[in-house]
Amino acid sequence: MKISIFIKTFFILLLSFSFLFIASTYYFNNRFSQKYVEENIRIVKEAIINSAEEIKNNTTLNQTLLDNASSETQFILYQNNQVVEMIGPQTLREDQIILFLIELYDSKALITEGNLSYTIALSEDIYSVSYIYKFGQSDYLLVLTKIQSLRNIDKVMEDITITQALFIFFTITIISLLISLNIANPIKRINRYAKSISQLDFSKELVLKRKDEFSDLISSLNEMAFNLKNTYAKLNDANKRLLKDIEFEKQQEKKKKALIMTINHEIRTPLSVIKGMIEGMIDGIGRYKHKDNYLKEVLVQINSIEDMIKDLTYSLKLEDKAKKDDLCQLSALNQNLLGVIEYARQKKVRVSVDIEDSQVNINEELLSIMIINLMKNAINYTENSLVVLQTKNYHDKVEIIVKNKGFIKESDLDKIFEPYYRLDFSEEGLGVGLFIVKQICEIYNCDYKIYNDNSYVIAKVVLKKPLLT
Amino acid sequence: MKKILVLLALILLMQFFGCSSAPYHDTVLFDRNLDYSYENLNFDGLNQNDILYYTVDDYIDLEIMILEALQRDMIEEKPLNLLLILETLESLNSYSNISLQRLLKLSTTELYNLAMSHSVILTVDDIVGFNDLKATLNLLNESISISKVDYIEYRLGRDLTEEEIEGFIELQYYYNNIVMYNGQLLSDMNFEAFSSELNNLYDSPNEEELNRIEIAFEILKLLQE
Repeated sequence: MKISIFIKTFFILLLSFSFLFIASTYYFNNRFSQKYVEENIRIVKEAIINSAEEIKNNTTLNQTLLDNASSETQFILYQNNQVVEMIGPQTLREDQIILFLIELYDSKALITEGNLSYTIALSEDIYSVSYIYKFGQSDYLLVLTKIQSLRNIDKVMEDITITQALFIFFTITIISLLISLNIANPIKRINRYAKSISQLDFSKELVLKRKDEFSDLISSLNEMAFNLKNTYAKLNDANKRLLKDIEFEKQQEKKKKALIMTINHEIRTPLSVIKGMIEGMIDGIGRYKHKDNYLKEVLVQINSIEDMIKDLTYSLKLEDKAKKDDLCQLSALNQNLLGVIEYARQKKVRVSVDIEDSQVNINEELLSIMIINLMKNAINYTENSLVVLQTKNYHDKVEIIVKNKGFIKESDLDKIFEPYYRLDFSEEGLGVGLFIVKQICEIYNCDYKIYNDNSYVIAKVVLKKPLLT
Repeated sequence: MKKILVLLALILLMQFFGCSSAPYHDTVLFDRNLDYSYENLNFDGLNQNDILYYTVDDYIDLEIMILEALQRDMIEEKPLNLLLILETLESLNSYSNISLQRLLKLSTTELYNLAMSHSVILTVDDIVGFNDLKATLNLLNESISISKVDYIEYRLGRDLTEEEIEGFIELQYYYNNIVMYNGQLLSDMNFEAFSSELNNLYDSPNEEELNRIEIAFEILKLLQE
């Protein structure tokens, strides 16, 4: 059975205090009468011993300390078998002296200390303490103390003690309660605090206004919680980073697999074509007899493979090129777009370019790759031989819009940025162009989207401007 | 025959035992010490042939022992009223025939009652002295022995002369011989009878020795009274 520390402490204190009180009261009550007599004897003995020298020098008894020693004590100076002087209450007459001495000497409780012998007797509620001090031959001081027994006082004391006991018991209970609370409360609070720490809840702080050992304990606990919290946070961060790294590695792995598959799939076809052409040319079979004509076709196929490899390389090396503080001028695009404009011309597509110069947070090369890929995509899929490139300048951002006539199904819009996804397999390319756009935007944390707008397909990228310092 | 021999051997053995337990007369020397007996309350243990044998007295011996103990620092002070209580006890002894040993074992009440029964009035000094004496005896447990010369001097209350000491030595010497040959006891004789016994001895004293023996003899008789 679990008993709380408060209950334990309370009952231990209550029992201890009560026992102490009862024991001390019992001892005091039982010893009171005896103590009173003992104290009287001590005073009388001291008075006799201290007055002995004066009495020897014939000082009268009432001029010595004996006169004030005890009001219940009779002092008799007895010399040469007769009473010389007597002070105090006249309890003992001269004719009773012999019997007094007989009782004194026959007492089994006779105590002798040097020249002083004394004995105590209790008879009919009266304590009789008899003394004899021997100065020399036939020269004695006889002393008799009669003390009324304190039995009645004891009874009164008992009555007082009962009332007192009730009061003291009540006080003891309150004190025990306070002490128990004082000990148990901090322990309970520390326990609750420790439990919350064990559940990794570091939001609470333990505050106790104490100036004892609890204060040290609480300081140590708070320090421990702080250290634990920091360590836990670091561990958490490390775990997150690890998960991210693992996820990244998985993605990389996926990319590699996809690359291999793509290479396998995309490059094998032109390679087979090239192989077939060259074999035909070597053997001089059919139309391949005219080598000069078909060598140009072989070159086209080789260029196609080279383009594919370039795109794949970009896809793999993008992150290496990017830096957080990259900056470039949009006007630089004018020069970099010449190639794609030539490509459009071959495709018999017109390109409208409207770029407003501004500084943006992106690597110039990556910006060019991104725009060229968007442009190529628009050129390949436009339905009216026109592609528009324009920028919109805002306070903190620049919107780059590439627009072409056409429509993309909703189901395709969701997948359009996935790697190696192609809307029309009749069109050339690996399906990595928009995937490269997506990667670049994610590196620089830019918004990007492709959507349908009134028979047009709009590709929009929002680039951030550098912060003004 | 064998049985007769065994019987004779047993008879002889018994004879030897009988001879060994026969009275043996010690040679008593005067320079031997006297030992106090706390049980008998006197300097007892004396040989019957000792010239002091009949002089010991419980009351006087007790007093001598206490004085000797005091001199040897065995007790710090003499019991109060010693002579007085010894006198009282002696008189009670004479009335009641109770020995000193028994008297000193009585309680104060018993002593008081005994005194009252013989019309002896005890004083405060008697009671204090009686209890002081008992307390002193309780303190003493070491044996006390004194020389015979010291004992006689205590008894006489004076020092013995060289001549007197010589006399006591010679008295003891010749008394040893008298006891050995005639079996006469000193207590039963006066000096005339004693000197005639001396004359019967093979080794009798000369006149000078006889004079010294007479002086010692008279002191001894004085102590016996």
